[in-house]
Amino acid sequence: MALKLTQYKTPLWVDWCPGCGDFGILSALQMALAELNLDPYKTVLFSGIGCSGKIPHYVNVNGIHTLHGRAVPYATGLKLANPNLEVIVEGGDGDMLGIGAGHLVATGRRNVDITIIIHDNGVYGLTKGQASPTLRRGIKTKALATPNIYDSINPLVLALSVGFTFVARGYAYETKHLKELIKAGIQHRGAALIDVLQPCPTYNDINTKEWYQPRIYKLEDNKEWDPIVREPSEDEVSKKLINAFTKAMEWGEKIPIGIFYKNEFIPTFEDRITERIPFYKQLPPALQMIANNDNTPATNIKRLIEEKLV
Amino acid sequence: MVTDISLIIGGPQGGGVESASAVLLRAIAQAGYYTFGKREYFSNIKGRHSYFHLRVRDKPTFSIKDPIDLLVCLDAETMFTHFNDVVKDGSVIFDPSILHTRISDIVSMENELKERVEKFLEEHGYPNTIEGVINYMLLKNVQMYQLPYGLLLQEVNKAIGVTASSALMRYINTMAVAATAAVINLPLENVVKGLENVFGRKADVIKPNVIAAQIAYNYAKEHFFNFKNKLGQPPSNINQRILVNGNEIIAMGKIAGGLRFQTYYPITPAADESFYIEAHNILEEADTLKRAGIVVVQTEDEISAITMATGAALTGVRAATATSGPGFSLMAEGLSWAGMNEVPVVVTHYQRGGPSTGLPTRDSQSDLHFVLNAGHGEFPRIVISSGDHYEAFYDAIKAFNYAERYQLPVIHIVEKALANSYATIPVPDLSKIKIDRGLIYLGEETEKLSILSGFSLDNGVNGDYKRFKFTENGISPRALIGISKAIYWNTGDEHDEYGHISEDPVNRRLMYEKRMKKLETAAKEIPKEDKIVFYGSEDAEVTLVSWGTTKGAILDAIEALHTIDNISVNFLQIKIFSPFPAKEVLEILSKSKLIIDVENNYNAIASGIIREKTGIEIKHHIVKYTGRPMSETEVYNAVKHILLTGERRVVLSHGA
Repeated sequence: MALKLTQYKTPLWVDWCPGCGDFGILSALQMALAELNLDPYKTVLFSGIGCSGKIPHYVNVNGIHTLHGRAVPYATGLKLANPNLEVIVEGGDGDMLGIGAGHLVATGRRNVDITIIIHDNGVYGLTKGQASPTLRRGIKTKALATPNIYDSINPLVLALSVGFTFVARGYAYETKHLKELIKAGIQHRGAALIDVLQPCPTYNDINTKEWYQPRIYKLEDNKEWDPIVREPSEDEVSKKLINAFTKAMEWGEKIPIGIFYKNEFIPTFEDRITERIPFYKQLPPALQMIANNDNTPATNIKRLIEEKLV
Repeated sequence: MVTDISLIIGGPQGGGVESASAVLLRAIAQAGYYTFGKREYFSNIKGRHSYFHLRVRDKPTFSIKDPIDLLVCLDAETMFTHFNDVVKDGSVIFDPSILHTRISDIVSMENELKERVEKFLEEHGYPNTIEGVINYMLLKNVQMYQLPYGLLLQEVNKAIGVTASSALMRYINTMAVAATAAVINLPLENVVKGLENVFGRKADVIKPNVIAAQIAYNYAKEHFFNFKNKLGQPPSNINQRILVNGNEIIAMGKIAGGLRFQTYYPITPAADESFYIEAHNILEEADTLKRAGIVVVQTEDEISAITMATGAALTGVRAATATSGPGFSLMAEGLSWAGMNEVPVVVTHYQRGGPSTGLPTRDSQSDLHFVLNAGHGEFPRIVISSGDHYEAFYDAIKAFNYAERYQLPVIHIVEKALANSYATIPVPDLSKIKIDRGLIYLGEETEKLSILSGFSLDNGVNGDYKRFKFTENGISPRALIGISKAIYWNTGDEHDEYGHISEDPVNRRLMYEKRMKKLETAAKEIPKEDKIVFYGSEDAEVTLVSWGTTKGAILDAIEALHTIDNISVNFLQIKIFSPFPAKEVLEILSKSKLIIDVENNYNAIASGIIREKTGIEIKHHIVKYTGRPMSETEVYNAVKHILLTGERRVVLSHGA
């Protein structure tokens, strides 16, 4: 039975600042879940720390609000224990690209089938506006005493270079477009990363809604744009990657959103585990029986004992 | 005749000492004896001195003893390092070609030890050469057995037709083992079985090894006489036994206990556990449902190791990680989150010498305070410790039972001295074990699945599931994501019963108390024998208190104190540190006459905890922090020393 959009909402008051880009991400996510008719019992939304970290509490699926920077390994553990579950991770740019960047790199290498959504606003909001890893060098947002002296990370370039097989960018105020990106990310087989440009009306007075609006354009408006790897040849993959890298570098007067890259020819981590454990997907760790009816151990370690018998 | 032989076999790391010792341990065990062998090695892959200290007995043993009866040298450094460990009238096997080696020729030897040895030889009037060492030992009536590897290798060469010296060199270890067996009177057939076990039965590998063994065995039988401490008859009527090291037996316990998800980041001395599990990750059964396929994930760091295991545990899988000090340091925040969200996750913590990188391949018991307090804020955790291989098997299973029953992180604290020691133990009895998975909530319409054996069910009020429901004993029914028809929230923030953030002071107090109450519930329910173990009679003159692998040396020392000196000593082994068994410990120590605390750390950490929890101040301490485990002899001597002098603190330091 299809669930209504309202059934993906909790009755909690959403305590973000008025006008926050996070509202757009939240409603795009709820719409995506409803349109895909995902079973709330089998859907798990993870988050880290910061404003974005609160998002699971507003969505009526299992919600796991974790540590700063660590949402990805929590989510990976759950997914690998039971690959039948739908796993989505939401995190801020500080969360994912600062304190937790190492996990993002490892996730690309694993290509585990989860969807990561980055709330990219250039600042650490909840701690009052410090510069985050995506804030460009030389920019002085209003809470900074002096301009930012760090160079910025390009989340898309990072994701492409570490092995994410679905890389996209959305814009928090293009909610319907973002909803489609989230749906595509969820439906993608493999690690998906969606960077969402998210104005922070309280602390980022540079990259505002007004700043973004005239710059944003959609990749798919160009009918020639094809981010999908159509065959597993080296030529095809490098062609699509080069296009994606080139587009991902575009910033300033024109800022593209949409799908940059998609490759489903790379085995997921779940596929790789299946090569080691053939029955992994049918009988994943979470669904294995470990006790008999009389509660004695169901696991037979006879072979292990025999190896060591004297 | 009583059998109790101690020997050291040493050589360059990566040069086959480990496999040679494995063959010897196996041969001894297969001949029907009990054995215990600890491995000592540098943080190094090839070249530095590594050795096995073995003991052969006719009864179960978990300690080493010094001085040793036999020193088997695979190189000159071994003789320079251990010559003073050999008992008067003992024996040494060595290659006569090293006779003129000077201590200054040995680049792999640490300068501190070189200087000590040089000083010793100088003071005793001997040159700094192997010849000097030998002359010193001859004066102590030590038998020097020359095993001419070069000559014997030529015989091996004739027999198997291999001429390349590099190929022949690999048989040196086998010959050393065979000569050792001949000296202690172990039958050659057991050496052959040991070789087959370690090298497999492939003819091209095993045949030349067997030939090399025969040649060395016969040579030793013809030339090496007067070994003082030969094997007696093996004990009769012994049950089936296994020979395992600590990493292996803990892995076996975890697997039997239902581990299906293990994460780790490579670290000594914990990684071998995960390696073993990965190599044994599929257990096929006739009953499809009972098939086990264990997912082992090598993570990007230990932060990921603990958080990934915790995430996995939300699905109901039994999940764990294994680490050592530096890795556990990175897990502190994740541990706190698991405590806050009441997630059953197990950490097997192998202590090694700290602080920092410390002595990465050596033993220590210095992380007790750390595992008890790691993580910010107050949250319940269970901390259990194991004294030997046999205990460790069952403790590994109990760790999961406690984690799931009380919904909290459990730390199973062990040591390098367990991880890298081999022992013969009885085959574990699985029929004695119960899997206790605690209380779960399944929600509407979910029929009882067979995979849910071991769980207790609580179906509460349909449709209004509260993950952190307030209850009398603090335990709320747990939903398993993917199995239960329920939705819930977790957060590191303080939360309401549903798991949503709440900073309300009234809720804060109730939720705080609910969490902490679980530890009181655990303290009430966990049986006494899982908290403490008491050995000996209540009216003994001395009570030793300890935890972890010092148990082996303590029990053997107690026996020696009784038989040699007629001193009666009992022993309180603490197995659980959180919840601390204050009542049980107090009950025993309040009756004790002279209490001595024994620990492998500087601060006598457990005695501090005992004082905090019971008010009892232990006045005498035997401590060691050289990174080498205590021997029976050290504990024996230290207890006698305290009895004689009343000394408050004895610091031990034996062992290379």
